[in-house]
Amino acid sequence: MEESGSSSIGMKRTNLDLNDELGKLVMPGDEFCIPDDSSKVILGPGLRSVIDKPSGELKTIVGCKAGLLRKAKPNTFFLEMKTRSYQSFKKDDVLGIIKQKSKGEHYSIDVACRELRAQLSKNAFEGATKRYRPDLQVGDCIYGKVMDFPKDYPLELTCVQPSGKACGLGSLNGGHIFHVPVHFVRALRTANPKDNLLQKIGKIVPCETAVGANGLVWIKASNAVLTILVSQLLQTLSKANPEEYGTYLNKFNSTVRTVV
Amino acid sequence: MESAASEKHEEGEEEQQQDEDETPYCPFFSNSELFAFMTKERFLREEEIAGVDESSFQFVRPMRAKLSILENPHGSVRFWQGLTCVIAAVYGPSDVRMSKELPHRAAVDVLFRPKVTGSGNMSAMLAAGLMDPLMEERAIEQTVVGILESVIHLEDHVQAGFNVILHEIENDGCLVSACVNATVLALLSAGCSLRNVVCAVTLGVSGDSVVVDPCAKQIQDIQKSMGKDACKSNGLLTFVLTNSHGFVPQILHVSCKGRVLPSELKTCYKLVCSGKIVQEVVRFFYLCISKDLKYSEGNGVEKIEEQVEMEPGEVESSSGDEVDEDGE
Repeated sequence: MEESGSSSIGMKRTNLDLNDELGKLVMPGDEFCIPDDSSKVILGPGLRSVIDKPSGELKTIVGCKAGLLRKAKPNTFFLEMKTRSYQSFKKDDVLGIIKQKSKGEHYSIDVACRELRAQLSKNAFEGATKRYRPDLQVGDCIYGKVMDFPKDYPLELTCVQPSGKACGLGSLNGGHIFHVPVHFVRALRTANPKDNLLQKIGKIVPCETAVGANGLVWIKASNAVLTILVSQLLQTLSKANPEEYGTYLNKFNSTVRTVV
Repeated sequence: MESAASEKHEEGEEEQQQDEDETPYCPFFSNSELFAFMTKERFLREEEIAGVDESSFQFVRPMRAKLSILENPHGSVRFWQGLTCVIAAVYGPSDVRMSKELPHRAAVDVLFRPKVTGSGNMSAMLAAGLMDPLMEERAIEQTVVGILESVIHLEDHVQAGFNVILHEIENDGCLVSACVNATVLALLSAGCSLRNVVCAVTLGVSGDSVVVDPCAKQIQDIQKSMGKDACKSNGLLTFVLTNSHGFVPQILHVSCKGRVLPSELKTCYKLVCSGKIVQEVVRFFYLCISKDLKYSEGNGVEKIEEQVEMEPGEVESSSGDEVDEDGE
């Protein structure tokens, strides 16, 4: 058929170029050709490679979700989309709430993902030994890292980095914990100072924060009223357009002035 | 409330090729009139609906959809196909009951909730000579389950489950295809990984004329003449198609109600395999998702690259940076 360009939207597209399609919408089934230069390409969520069965050679790259094609610095491509469900991935920092404290060696923890409970060893804290280890209670909030286990293993967390230091991981005292959509976490955790929302909020209200990749956010400001205000602001922002962030922050600024 | 688009095929298949290029024949309302009615009467109440202007729908009735209408589900949509309205909600991949867990792939569970339930509705339907409504509901569920099992990458989520809840709001014909379309749109907005985009379309055949996406009244007319003349075809064909294989869509599912003779069946296949109907519906999905993601063709790549640049600093991994596969 002679149709091309925007009129062919809706049909499966083939032989797309990864660099040409950056920032554009990819639908499931859209096929990309493999880049000619032999530089390594890393595929993130939403993209997968199709391997030709008999020869074992890489055939095409196929999009399998509806999202915008994005590129991270060293040749990593992935699809960005709105999602509300978190899928655990190794080395992710997550926030969890202790749901059960058994007599054995583990706490069982709710990390708001598809596996109902994650395990956390009672010894996986900085400086913990069999005799001296932190005694956590049911309902306590912890900031942990997903252990680097093979696929389909039960989910396990740790509160200590491989170096033996905690580096911010561990139990969080006081504050307030709440849920935001998973795609909003990106806006909170980005290292780019221009986009980082938490830095902008921190200039208005100084507060301690911990943002888990699973969409849970922990906030602790100097008093309870400010903590609640910040949490309400973040929940509002998670539903707003990125263009509206500025106006919301200005409003928040004037509200905080009246409270303090 | 009458039809949107219809096509007449009067003299065989050769004629049909030409007919396709002309403006579609519509006996009652033109598409624009129907669209005007829809916007005026009841659709104005919705603040932000991803609707596409009526001119982009030549074959099926104008579609409208609103994404993420519910708080809890991972993906949800309120979907109109003409005046047929369905709400679809998708939870997944999520945990399922032990009894439904499968060791090698995710389970798919679909629940269809009709507008009217209970025995009163059933007796009325039976009196009108229609099928048992409970049976029809199960049939719709099973149709959607079958399609989803072949479309979702189920093998990625072992022992998990996908739950789909469909709620009929208004039935003006083609409920099955509206259910399938709404489900696919909800899956896309939930970020589930699919093999292909699929869509469903219903064709009404009466005599030698074919109506694409008939409304309730046209279906009634077809049903009235069902079984009267053995030499004439009177029936409803529901196709579920993918947008794959270049410009030739693959057929995933066909169901037939009534009698359709081989010559008309051939016409229908030809019409469906031309890919124009699929393109129209999937294009609508594309526009809905792009509106949801705040993406427009005009806003350039430069702006986006700015956002993406990340320094490998304190942030070691965020939900967007997961890397599962290596390719050359």
